Amino acid sequence: MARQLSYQDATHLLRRAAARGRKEEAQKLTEMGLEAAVDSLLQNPVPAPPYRTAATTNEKGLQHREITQLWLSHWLTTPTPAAERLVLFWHGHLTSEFRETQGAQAIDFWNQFATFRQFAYGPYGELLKAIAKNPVMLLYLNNAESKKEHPNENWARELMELYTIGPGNYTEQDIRESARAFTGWTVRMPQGAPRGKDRDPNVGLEYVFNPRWHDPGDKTFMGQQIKTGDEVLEILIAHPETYRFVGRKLLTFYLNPNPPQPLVEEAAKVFRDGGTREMLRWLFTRDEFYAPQNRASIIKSPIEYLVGLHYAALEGKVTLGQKDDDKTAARVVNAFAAMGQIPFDPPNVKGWDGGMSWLAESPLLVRLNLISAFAGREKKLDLEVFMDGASGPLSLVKPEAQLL
Amino acid sequence: MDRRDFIKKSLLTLALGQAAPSLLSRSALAAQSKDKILVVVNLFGGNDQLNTLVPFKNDLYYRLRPNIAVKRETVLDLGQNGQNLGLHPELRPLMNMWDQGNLALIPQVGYPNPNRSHFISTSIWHTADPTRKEETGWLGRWGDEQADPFCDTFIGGASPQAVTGDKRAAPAISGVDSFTIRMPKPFEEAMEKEMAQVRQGPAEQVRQAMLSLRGALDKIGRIRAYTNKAQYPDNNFGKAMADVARMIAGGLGSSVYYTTLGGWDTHAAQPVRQQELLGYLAQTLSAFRQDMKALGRDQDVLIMVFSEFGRQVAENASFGTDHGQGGLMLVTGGGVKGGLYGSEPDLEDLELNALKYKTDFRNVYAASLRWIQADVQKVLGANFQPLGLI
Repeated sequence: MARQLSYQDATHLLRRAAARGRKEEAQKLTEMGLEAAVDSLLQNPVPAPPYRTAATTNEKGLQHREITQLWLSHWLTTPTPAAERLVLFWHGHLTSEFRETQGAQAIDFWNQFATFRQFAYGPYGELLKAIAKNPVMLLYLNNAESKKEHPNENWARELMELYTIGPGNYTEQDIRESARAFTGWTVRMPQGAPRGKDRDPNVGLEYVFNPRWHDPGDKTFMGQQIKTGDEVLEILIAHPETYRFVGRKLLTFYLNPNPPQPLVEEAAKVFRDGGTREMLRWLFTRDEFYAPQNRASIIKSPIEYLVGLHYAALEGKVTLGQKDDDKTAARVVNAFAAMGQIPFDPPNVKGWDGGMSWLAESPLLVRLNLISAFAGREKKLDLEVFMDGASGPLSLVKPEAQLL
Repeated sequence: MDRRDFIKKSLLTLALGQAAPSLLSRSALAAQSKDKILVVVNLFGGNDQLNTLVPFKNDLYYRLRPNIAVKRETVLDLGQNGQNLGLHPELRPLMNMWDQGNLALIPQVGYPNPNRSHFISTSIWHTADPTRKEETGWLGRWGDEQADPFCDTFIGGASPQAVTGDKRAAPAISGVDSFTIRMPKPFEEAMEKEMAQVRQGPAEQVRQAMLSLRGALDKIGRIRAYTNKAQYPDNNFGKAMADVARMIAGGLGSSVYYTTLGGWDTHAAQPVRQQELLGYLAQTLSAFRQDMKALGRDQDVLIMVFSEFGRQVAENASFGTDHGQGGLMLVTGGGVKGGLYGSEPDLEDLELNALKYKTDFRNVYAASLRWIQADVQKVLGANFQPLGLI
């Protein structure tokens, strides 16, 4: 028999899974029952629209504003919003910084997001393999320039410290050896496409293996004899710590900031055996997920805050509630910068710390100053899913408005 | 101070008719002294010591860095006390301070069992605990003992671990001018009402954050009228330090100001990048010192600059350097005893291609804690001998 999903629980599920929702959607989920509601949220992502730009290769700021708007509008209008919150998770986990990535254009970041979307729900190992060959990642962590004479350690280090097994499970020697294994993994423009300053910003980079830069010798990595970067990835993908480390991070994003250890162990197992979708399905159908201590227990990130608020206000685009003109995109990126979360541009390779750091004095002030643009919208503002305990626009000043 | 001493001292204070309530509620040794100020600058990413304080008379340096070494003829010679080291040309604005004897350069600063992760090493510097058991920041522990919520201030988006204690974190102010609330009356009134209602769990944490914000708005509003007397470079770091100067001028009352300048993780194309950042750093510090002089506070303010690690010695194939160990610290201010606190690095005695550390950062921290009359033992957990900077 199908398990029931109360309206109250449906608002929580929708807010957590997708960071956007309105009353009638929560009602629809209730009618479906728990399992079907969860399945409907975890559908395969609808692809985002293609990115085309009239900007030049030098106009990186303009390009960045364009993909920011394109992504947020997609999140606001897609029938699969839960996939977009998961894309945000992968973006904050397998990080790349727009302003720090020399040689990449916005199209490359847009393509990276398409990769996040494509592999979002599948086995983590598949996503990791795709990102290891992603041009933005290769440029961001400098592997694209890594040659056998002097391997660059940046990617090798963060791969282990932040993307897979976590600190304490490898040595400096493992970093040096794996850096040798990844030499020659680099990027190029597709055959025939102009390069450098003549590059067309609508054509993305691609991965290429350069055998002349590669160190073909034997390496000892985590106690095993290996030669290639693929072997490094296989060892990390088979490692149980990878699933504890990343699984725990998923729980802090979807359950609460301090998931209990036994639950992390269980989550890691589901994550490893079944992939990300299975883990989320497992989580969203557990009673624990709906327990009072897990409801409204996460501070909304600035992106979640603005997506949720604009969706509640029936907007298909992030305008900050102001007139939509040629300054909108710049205003939006500035607001994100002041709140501490610029889409496509995390502050460092570890991503956003989140939690209470979102609500330090200056970023909280920006959030509150944005509210007034939504004053006087009693009829159009549906805050049922956005926050607990809402009754009209004045509720936006309640502490609960900041909670996911 | 043990309990008996504390009681004796309290009784003495009562007898002398001094401010007893503050003494009874807080430990006397922890009380905030308002006349001295510590400014901490965190260079996030790992600044390369060898191209900042350059061993320009050492041929091995040029052999190990054929593409990225600082050209010998451009290095700023520090003279005899600088031994065989010189400064990167972009640091020219600091030469004045060096000549006047109030710029301290401390090479190869680190800690036992160095960690080459940005985040772990930063956390070690922030908690001042290389064993990684401590979760509170070193200045956060000091702040926990203070009565004034503005005993320290972070200039930036969200306060880092260094200024986060058990009970509180430093207020985070990203800019003095933009720090105003703009809300229609009904919203402001509704917010006042909501802030008065105690909640539980995360909602209560949010409410507390709103209350801190309200306190900060009042405080910062009052210093907005103060303007800078010096010209700062037009970038975020320049603006942050200009705001620190205004906060000091306006009497905000913090003993500690903390800010960051990122971008030092030069795995590739290091020369261009580091040069730009060193320029920002030197121009800003110079402007800040001028501002303090104009205010008559230069003797009271000590500026301490650190990075989570230095970088490796031999360059990599992308004209950059990878994560290393010991790095350079820089301390300046009117009351600082300048000079080189260390010696030319031995480029033949390396650990996995990195300089070994020679000075424990906690000895430098100890000096900065002495400066603000904080209890070294209490903050650092042991009595680290302060480096003789002051």
